[in-house]
Amino acid sequence: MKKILGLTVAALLVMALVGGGTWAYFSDTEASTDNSLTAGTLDLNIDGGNTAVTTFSVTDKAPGDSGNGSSTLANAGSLNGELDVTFSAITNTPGAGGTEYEGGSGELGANAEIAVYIDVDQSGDWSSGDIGLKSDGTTYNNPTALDYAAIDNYGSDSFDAVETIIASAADDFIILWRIPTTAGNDIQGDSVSFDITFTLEQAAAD
Amino acid sequence: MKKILGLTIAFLLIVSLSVIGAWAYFLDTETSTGNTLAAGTLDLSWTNESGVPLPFNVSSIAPGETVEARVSINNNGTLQLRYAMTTDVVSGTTLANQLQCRLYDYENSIDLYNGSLSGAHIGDPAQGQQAGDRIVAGGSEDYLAIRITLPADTGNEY
Repeated sequence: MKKILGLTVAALLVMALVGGGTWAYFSDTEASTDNSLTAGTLDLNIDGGNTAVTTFSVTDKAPGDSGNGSSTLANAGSLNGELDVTFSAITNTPGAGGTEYEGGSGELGANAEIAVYIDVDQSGDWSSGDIGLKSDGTTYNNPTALDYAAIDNYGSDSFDAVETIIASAADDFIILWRIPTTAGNDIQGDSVSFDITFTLEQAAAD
Repeated sequence: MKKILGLTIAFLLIVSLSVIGAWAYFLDTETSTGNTLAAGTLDLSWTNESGVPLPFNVSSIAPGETVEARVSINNNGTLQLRYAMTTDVVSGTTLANQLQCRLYDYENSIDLYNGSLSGAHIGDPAQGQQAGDRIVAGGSEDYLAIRITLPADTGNEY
């Protein structure tokens, strides 16, 4: 009686173990560890730093005079960026020194002219690959001749994605100015000033 | 049922976020401020320094007599200027031809002209640098003496 009971119990036990599931199958485990995600950096430097600069500031000029100024734009981050350029705050101030032809509302901005370009190869002159910024808000390339226009014509011009500056690369931003000999006494003592804002935006993903 | 609903909601959320746009992209801005171009000034004037004051108003000049005016030519502006001088005879050409004029820089004792009054001049008023043109720095002055003489041998016909 006991033996039959024991055998039955054993049989029942075996059956239960077989029906129980797959915990006896082979298995193997691997791990993917140290997964990490680091953000890149986007950092535009102007003349080597992150504070505002002045590209040119000259006084006591007359018809027939000309000159230029230059600022270096560098991508100091790890990501490529697209450069936007915006003109603003063009301000004309009349001469106030009291000499015969001073006064009016400030005519220098309508008479003095500038040509503006990105010196991509930093060669110091308008050459192949350089990008000109025209006063109508468009860009043009060398070998088209440099385009001079009255400073006032640059108004609040905004140039989007003028070029891509890759990480570690640098370009020079050049402003050439001149006062035509046709400018008359009404600009005596006048001054004109303006600001330029440069924005480096994350370049589109490949 | 709940599981399917949950998945659908999650999917819709993902789609709407990607449509919103580039507001989450990196950017950096720098500025170049106060770029300035200023013009100078050019302002010429003259003042009497000593001697007979200009404009001359001399009556009864006799042969052998001399009148002299000393003036400063002033540059009241900021830019260096260059000046010239010419003489226009309004009337009395005969007398103007007879009268002698000596123009000189009395500070440095330099003769600028010595001849008839009708031809008295300094430099050339045409645009540009010519021989005889005088330079005056901004804020400075040039000192000029104008000496007019009726020659002693002038006859009674004058």
